[in-house]
Amino acid sequence: MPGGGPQGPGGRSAVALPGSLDEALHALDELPGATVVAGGTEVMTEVNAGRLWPSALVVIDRVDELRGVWFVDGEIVIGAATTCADLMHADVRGVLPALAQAARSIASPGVRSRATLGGNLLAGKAAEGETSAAPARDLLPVLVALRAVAVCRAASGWRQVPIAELYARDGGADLRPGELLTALRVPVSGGPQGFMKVGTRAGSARPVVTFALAADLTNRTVTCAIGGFSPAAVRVDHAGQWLSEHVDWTSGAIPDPTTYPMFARLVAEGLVVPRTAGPAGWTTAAIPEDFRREAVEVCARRALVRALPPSGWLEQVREYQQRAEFLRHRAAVDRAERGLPKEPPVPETTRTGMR
Amino acid sequence: MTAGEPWPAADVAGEAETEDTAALDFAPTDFVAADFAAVDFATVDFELAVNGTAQPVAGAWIGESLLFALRERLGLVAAKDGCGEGECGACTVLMDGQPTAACLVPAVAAVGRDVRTPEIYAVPRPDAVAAALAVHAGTGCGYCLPGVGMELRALLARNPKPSAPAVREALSGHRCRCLPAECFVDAIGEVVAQLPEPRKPEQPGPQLPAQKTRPAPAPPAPPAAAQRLDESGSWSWQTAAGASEAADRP
Repeated sequence: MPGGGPQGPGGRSAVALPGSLDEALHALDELPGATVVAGGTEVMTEVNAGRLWPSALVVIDRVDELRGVWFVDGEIVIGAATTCADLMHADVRGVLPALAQAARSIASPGVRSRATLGGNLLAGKAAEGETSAAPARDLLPVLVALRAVAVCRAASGWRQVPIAELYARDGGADLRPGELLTALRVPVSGGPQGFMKVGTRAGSARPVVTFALAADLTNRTVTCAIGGFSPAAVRVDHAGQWLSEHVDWTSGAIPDPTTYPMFARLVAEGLVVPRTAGPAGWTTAAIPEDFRREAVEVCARRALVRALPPSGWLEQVREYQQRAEFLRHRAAVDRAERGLPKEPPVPETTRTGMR
Repeated sequence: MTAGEPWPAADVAGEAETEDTAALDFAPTDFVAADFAAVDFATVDFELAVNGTAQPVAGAWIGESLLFALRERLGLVAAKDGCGEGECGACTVLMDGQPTAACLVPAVAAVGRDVRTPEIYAVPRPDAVAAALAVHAGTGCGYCLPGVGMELRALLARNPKPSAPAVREALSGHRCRCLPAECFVDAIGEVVAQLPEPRKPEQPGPQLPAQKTRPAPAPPAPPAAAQRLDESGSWSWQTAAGASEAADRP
């Protein structure tokens, strides 16, 4: 261990810094009741507030097997300790744009550099545990919409469940003792995706409601999920099925513009908080239901417009862009022919987008 | 009441004998002691690599944040304790070159990582970022400034010419209640203007490959232009502007 590993009194340390998955599982066995820390951004919020007094820590942020994105046949495997900053990488954005958007909507760069995917999914509370202050789980609706499979590993073996079944009825993460969430397997679906979030304020904030949508152009299906209003996200299948009958799948566009508000209303019908779950947290518990309903309608409409635009809209935009580009080049050529200076008389910083 | 005594001794003695307190058969502090006795305060000794030197930390509770270890155990008080929830950004330090909210990192999780605090950039001589912040953001109270400076240094390390929206997004996690964001945009504009054109890799952190110099006058192909219009959402004069904005996004 570079820099001297943690030493406890009497040679027994209450902190384990495992370097591999096997070591991590071993450490979980040795330190029963230990708090698992990947990034620490959720755990330390609780510790700093005095709500959590960890008796032992298993820090898994240097387990390389848990971190990274693997592109394999037909699916994408995302390590559970992959940070939100990694999820915003261009490679991930290319195949899972909704996940990258969701990661970008979380907190600030200083938190995203540590906050992990698994921490986001398991934050909040354990099954039948106490309700946490504000479990946000912004990445969850995306993974639910994408039909991801959670891979868990305990000393006894592997366990794979659909991500929605990782949560108990009360919205707590149903992870057994001594078990680690290692990865998420996301099936590749060729098609546009969308993510929208309405928070308690502009900028990064606790979510009032989040919405994720994934269209599959080959199978001609749309799956969507809403989250943020309760601890676990829910899929809104009736809206997706209705929508898949109203899409022009050959062009990937929607012919009838009234589809958008209708879809939004159908999505809002899924905004039913189960009695056992309760709201997502005290910061958003006071949000009136009317506002939440309107917010999810706006999210659904906007996400759908961006993922599946109205027929002819893309062509129109492309036409405008080409015309603007043409005018710009013609102006440049004009200036060159008349011997006028190429650069405008403004300072360099203004031209590069600086004020 | 004599001049030397801040509180009359007779009053203190009388208060101790009032019926309210006499009815209690335990000291009020017993509650706290009992609560804390139930908690297993496991402690560890470890070593942190802070600002390039190994710093031993002894007898630290495992729940201590890196910020607490830096401020209270190592005396490095430039990183400020704001909210303890990662909202305010005042505690931002660089861990392996990445901006990190120090209050949300357990101190033991920083073992073996290269931690850099605002001190080495401002003491004894301020670097370009600190100097520019002093000029442009000097009218504020300064509580958020060390964190803002670290965020801006990390931003400059990965993007030597950040655009104003990139600066604003990088500072989205830094609550400054004194000054508008323009002050920080101006400050970093001054830093960028001061830096020599082929920037030397003097910032800490993962050194990304130097940005390729783009051919300035070549008109971009229409698809690329269309994409740029989509992403930036506004027109800009130079081809390099759109390209650098696209490069801001990770």
